[in-house]
Amino acid sequence: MATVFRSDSKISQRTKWILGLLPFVLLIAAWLWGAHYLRYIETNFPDIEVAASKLMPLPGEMFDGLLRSATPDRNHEVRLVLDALASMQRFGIGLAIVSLGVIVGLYMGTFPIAEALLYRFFVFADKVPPLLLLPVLVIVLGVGEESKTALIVLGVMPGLILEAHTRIKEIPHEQIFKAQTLGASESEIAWRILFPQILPKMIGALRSNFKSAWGYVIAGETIAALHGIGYRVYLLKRTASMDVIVPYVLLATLFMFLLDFLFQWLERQCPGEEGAK
Amino acid sequence: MTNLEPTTDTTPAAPSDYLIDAQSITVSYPKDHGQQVILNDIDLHVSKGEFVTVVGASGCGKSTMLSLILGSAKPTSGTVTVAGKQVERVDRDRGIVYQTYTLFKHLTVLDNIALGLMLEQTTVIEKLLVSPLLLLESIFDSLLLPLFTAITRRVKGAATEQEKALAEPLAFCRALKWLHYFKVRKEARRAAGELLLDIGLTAADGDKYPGELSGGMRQRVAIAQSVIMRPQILLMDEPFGALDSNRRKVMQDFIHDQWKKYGLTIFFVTHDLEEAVKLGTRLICLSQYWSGPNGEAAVGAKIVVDRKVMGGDIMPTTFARQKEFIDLVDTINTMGLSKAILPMADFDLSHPDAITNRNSDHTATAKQEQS
Repeated sequence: MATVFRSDSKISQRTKWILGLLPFVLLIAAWLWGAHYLRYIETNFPDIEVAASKLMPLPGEMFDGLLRSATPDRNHEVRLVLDALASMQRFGIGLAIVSLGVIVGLYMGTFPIAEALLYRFFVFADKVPPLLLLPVLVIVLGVGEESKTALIVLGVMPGLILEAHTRIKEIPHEQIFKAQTLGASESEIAWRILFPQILPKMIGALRSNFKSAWGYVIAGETIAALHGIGYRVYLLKRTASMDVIVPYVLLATLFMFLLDFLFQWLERQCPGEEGAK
Repeated sequence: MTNLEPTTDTTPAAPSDYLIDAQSITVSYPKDHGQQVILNDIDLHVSKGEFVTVVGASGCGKSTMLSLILGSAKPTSGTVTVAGKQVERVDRDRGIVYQTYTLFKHLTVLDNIALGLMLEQTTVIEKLLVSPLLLLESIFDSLLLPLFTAITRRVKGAATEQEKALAEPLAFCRALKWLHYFKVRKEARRAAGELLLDIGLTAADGDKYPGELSGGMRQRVAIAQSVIMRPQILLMDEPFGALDSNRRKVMQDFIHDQWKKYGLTIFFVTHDLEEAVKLGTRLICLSQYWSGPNGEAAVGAKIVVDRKVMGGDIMPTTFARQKEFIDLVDTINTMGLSKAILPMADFDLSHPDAITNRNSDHTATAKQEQS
């Protein structure tokens, strides 16, 4: 056991892969065991009411459910594609607006007037529970896209602004003095010296906010929407269609997972960062 | 290293000849219902081409003095002028090198050195020509054009005459912007490339990021970053404090060579007395000034030593005396001005035989100094 804690103990790439995959394999195995166990009870104990396929569908049933969603319906619409695109679009628009918060944070960190004006306001705004605002947003903005986007913005943007502000403050004053001796104006210091240095950290901050933003999209869709992953899952809840719900959840997770990889890659591409080319 | 001729002319320069002219500088800040005095009524005159080294105990106000000259701090009373102009803010006529944090990690070594030139050239031209064009371009490009295109295409289904009319000025703005950008960047990088080789780095190092360089190399780049701007004065705040003794010696030779080569005026703050004596043509020692009946109250630092030294070349015959001098200044640093022996008179290290009458001066005490 002692070797486990040795700092120089190396794990091979193969072992890393195997260990990394192990939790996934265990989860699938547990699901399969549960699904088969429920079917066993359903078959052998008819007195006990167990809707096995509803509770824990098998992979084949989930594949069929997914296929049904991916097949054009009588309106020639492919629900799976429409739902996925609708949710991703909401997420994308929300995130694009939220990312503007980096500029607000940059100015707050750079210019004392902007800091005096906005800092306390955003500290306050950051403490507002966003989901409590959802009914307010629906009343004010209606059930359309505006309220869903506003929910993401109100939920994530204040935190991102404060993060950018903190990161700017962390940059030593010496760098600013140095830039001034090189003839940089205030805006040049903000955009050419400070912004590029906080950019990788801001990409990281956006990454860590993905889950909340995605959660707000889903929450918004449960109130009212024509398409969307959240809307579909809540609709299917009524019929307990786990064979479609589970693939939808997996799809939403996979989207986040891939986006996370993309942003990790982007973070590494920032000049001067470790691993940057 | 070349032997520098010590300056023997003791005639004070006329005020207009001083590059740095600080008059009656006091720096204090409120503390516990009173005032904490950092610097106490200090006069400082530095002429062009001098290599002034400043020593003193930690917290005695060396860096504060440097900040006043830089313009990043303001005196509570008194004035600081550089080249006859009162220091109001940090400006490009003064270069600065700190112990750390002076390189921008998102820029390559070459771009770090070239940055000042790029900013300098961009600022002048941009104000006249490029800035309005860039603004126009960004308004056209990011706001008006997509909006216009979206509306007209939805209405008419094709590009309109107005759209085509916008395209030409847009292309013109872009071409000018890029032409200007590449021209400035190319020239600045060429100059930076020459300096890069001059500071002992290779062309390949120019494409690296600061994080990939050693501490000594980073400081060379930081010095080059300032030197390329040809500042009137180069301020250095314990620049070699983070280096090991071998690298420190190499860097001391390096900065001495740069000083000679470019005729710089250097104001060099250090806590290392040997370094100060070795490098400077003039040494200033700051020490806490004590007052009160028994010298118990610290009332800010004063200049206790301001003497010419050899500057960059410690000759064996004078080394022993310089060691004595260092020991003496060390005592002052440790104990404070009024509590130490004050044999400062006639202590001129610029001449091997100049140290005289030390024994008689050794008897001077704090009270005598105050009286």
